[in-house]
Amino acid sequence: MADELFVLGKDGNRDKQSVECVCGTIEAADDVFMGKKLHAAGKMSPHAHARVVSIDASKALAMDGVVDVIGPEDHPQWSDVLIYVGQPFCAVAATTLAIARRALEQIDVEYEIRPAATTPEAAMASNAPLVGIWPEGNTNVRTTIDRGDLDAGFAEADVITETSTGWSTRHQHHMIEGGNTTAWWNGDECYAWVSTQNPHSEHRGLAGAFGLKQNQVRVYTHGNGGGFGSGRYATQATAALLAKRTGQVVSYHSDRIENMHSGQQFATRADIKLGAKLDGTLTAIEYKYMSDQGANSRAPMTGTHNVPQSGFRCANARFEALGIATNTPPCWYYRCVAHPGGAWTFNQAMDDMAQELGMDPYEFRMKNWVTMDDDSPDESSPRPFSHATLREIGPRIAEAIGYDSKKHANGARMLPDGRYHGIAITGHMDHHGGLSSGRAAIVHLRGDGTGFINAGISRTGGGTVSSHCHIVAERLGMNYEDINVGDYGNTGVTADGGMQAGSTNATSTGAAFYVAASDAREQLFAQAASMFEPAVNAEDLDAAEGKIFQKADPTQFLTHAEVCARASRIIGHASNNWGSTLTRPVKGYGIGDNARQRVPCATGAEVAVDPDTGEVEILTLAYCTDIGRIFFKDGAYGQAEAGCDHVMAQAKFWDQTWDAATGRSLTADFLTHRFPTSLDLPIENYHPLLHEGDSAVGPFGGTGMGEPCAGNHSAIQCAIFNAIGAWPDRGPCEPWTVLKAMGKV
Amino acid sequence: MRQFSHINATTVDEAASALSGGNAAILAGGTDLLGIEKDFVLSTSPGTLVNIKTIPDMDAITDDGALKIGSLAKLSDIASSSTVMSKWASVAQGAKRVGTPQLRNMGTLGGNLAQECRCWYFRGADNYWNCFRKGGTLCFATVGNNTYNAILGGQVCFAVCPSDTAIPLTALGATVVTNKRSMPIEDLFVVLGTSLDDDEIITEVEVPAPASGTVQSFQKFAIRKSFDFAVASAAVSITLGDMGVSDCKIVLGGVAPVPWRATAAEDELTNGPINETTAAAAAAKATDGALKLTDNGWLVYEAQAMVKRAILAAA
Repeated sequence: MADELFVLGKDGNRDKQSVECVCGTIEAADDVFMGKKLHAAGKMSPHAHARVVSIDASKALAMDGVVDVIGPEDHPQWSDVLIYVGQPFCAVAATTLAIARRALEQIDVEYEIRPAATTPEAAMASNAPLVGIWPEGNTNVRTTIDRGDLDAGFAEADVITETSTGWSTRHQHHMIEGGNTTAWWNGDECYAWVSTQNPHSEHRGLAGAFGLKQNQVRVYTHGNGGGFGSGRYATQATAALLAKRTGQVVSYHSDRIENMHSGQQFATRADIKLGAKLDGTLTAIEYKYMSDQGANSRAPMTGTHNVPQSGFRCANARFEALGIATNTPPCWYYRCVAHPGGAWTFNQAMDDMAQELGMDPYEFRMKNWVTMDDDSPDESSPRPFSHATLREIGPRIAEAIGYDSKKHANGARMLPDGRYHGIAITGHMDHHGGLSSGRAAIVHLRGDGTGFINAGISRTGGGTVSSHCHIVAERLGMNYEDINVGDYGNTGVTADGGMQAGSTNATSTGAAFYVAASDAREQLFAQAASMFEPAVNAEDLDAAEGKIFQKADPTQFLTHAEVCARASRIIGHASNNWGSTLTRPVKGYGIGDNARQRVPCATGAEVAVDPDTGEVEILTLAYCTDIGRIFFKDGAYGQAEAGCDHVMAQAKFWDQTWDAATGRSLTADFLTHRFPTSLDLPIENYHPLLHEGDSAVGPFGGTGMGEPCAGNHSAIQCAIFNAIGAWPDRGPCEPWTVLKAMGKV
Repeated sequence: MRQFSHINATTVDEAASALSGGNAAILAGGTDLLGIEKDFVLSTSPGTLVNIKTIPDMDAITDDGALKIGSLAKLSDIASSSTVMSKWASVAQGAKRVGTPQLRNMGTLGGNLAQECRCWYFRGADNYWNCFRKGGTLCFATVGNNTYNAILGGQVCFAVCPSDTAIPLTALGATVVTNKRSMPIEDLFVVLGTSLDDDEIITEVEVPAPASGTVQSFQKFAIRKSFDFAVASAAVSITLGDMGVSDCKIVLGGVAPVPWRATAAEDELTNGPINETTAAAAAAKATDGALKLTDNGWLVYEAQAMVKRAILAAA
């Protein structure tokens, strides 16, 4: 890749969309067509399990302003069998949103109430009612993986520990914007502004829902008020259906409670048996876990075991995953998907083992974290890691929080103010931030030497499109300021940018932009080569800092403006499938060999625990991700700081509490679900760090980085363990859970 | 929210007249009422909202020997008032711990005192739980999740009084003045809310000047410091004499349906010195009679911690 970089990682480059965001001019799905349109709202199941026997909408339809009401029989994606509170099954379109919401109250529904299982324990009971997502029961063995000889691993161990954890945090994602869609029809063509993380997928979904050809649909997405994995909703078809029936533009608005009952992070608990030598070498890992999937058979829980599977060197292991269905809202993707639960559970076992061995828990991890000497252990066929630097970033974390001078045995240090002191470092090899296939990109150079990129993605995370501009500018040797964002998230004119998920977009769509820019570069150099006197070969040229120059004599150059003025049009494009293949040799592997792209990440936390109240104060929080290469510096540090926020929120605040009798959320709003504000986050105590380990996979050696933070809330939990010598039995670590761990409750 | 008509009252009498009959509600800051309406918390809604912010001169904060705070005084003004802070600092401390700056800029003293509870079951959207407080037959917290419900004085409803200002005002012996009567602030609160009639409007709160040698403090424990309601709070008013504590009031918030006088703790503290030991002993007495439900036993520790800290902070 490039020997010298002029754009990537440069200080002072601003987010291309920051002005739109700050000024509020970025379009959101709810904000368009503010003139005449209908407004729609949905009626949600009040029951955890029921069948809709009848719907009488006559009173609602008689209200002034109510235009249409739809039910399960009308909607291509709805059912009359309701399996969780909050499941949509009815909607109203009216002249105002207030009328639509009032009309919902006037719809009489007769339900056939069915028995429900609203907790994992209830769902696993011998006489449990069927939740309704699997025909045979409420549990499902999702994954079993064996590595080496587990029995032999335990036989060679000097110490064996067994850890049974409580449930990790189940929570909602707290997007500022919920699921909104504004839809209309032009003849048999459907148009929709959608709040989504994946406009091209919604495009295909709408076509499928209405039996349309894909060229009969246009989806638009610009501003999207957050996603964190849950930025996909089922509101598109509802708005489109009402628009089709009424012949008008319809905006469907989901409210906060509806949003809170949509996709959630699942809760996980585990039974973990570890074997280790006295010197701290892990010899065996048996990791059995179960996750509450809610009412979703496809909840992505099986990544939970990735934390012990990929991050720790151990020849003998077994990983078993059990999915549990409950009559609660479906669990879907949350930032970093299953890693938070994996980290939360497995790090308890690691600390238990360290205590049994009498080793410092950070030293124990440093001894067992994988390195580039290891092949990725999570594949049957050997593959090298793209970069495995946990043992490099661990010391950076340790230095940032002053670990060596502050560490102590569990429960052994009290601060002068009477609070317990705790400190811990955890880390893992994250499976997110890698490459995923099927991304496409367009780069368009203008006659004055500037250019646009067209991106088939929304602005779900800050800075992604700006990262793409960095990649394109670097590849074309242009200045960052000369590459701007053309249209984006418009499926009619952009190439499919793929799902903004898995922290893959900067890299995966970035890889497509790398290839598209390479295509444009080839055209640019061909034009430039003919313009030099005497003419040169294109392969004798290079470009940087706004100049296209001869490699042999850089004083001989043309500007991009000079070249583009002579070129009829330069459009670079890519329909890319850049796999996880090596871009440089690693160990015995060569360029093009398959590799495992993983993102090393670690967090250090220093806490004070009040023994009177159970309150946990974060004194220091350091977080480091090895993102291989920094593309957009401000954006990358912004992600790292936001990562600290997520660590804090998961560890201390977010909590979805259910009423077990009804399966209804008791905390379905920002107040009770505890969305932390800046006053609740010790930003002044954050140490966001970035490491550039030069991944051997991906454009310019870079990886994605949004998600790996999420599993690192385990460091706070481990610091609490270090402080009080006991584990809170659930996440988040609310004061009452800490008091309980201390034996006070 | 459901439809309603809106009246801008210009006098207390006009507002009271509009409120009579029961199908109306007072709109002042609106930070509580509008949330209830937007979530369809109750089975019915008031047909009329009577805006009393248009009544002049009901937001004054004065000291004529006693502190007088108009019921429309904004919480942010109370929190920053030099008059309040001069002799009634714990009232300012209580006001400052209410909600966020935005909420304090909208919320009024009268509204903070008369606000509805925050019990998860009472607040369930779409009137999901028709609990005892709403006219039903059951307090659902007693059979459901009661992590934040009352440990003291629950009786038929285990929702807690959410007001932060009521706690120091009770400790300081405040009087609530309405268009119909004056009453000790203790009489304002009942297990199911307030004792106000449908057409009764809080117009002012009077707080006597503390006796010479009186110290005071308000302490609040909340999970988010930014704007959570109290998990537990405590206000103390302690008069010190030659022999130590000659008189004191200790009031708990967040753990009972009403501001809760911890008389056993007061007795424990009276006639002795204030130090770590006596504060801890008084705190241990503060939750005498606590009834722990399945999930709320931890509140005993939070309440005791707040009492101890309030005593020591005051001293």
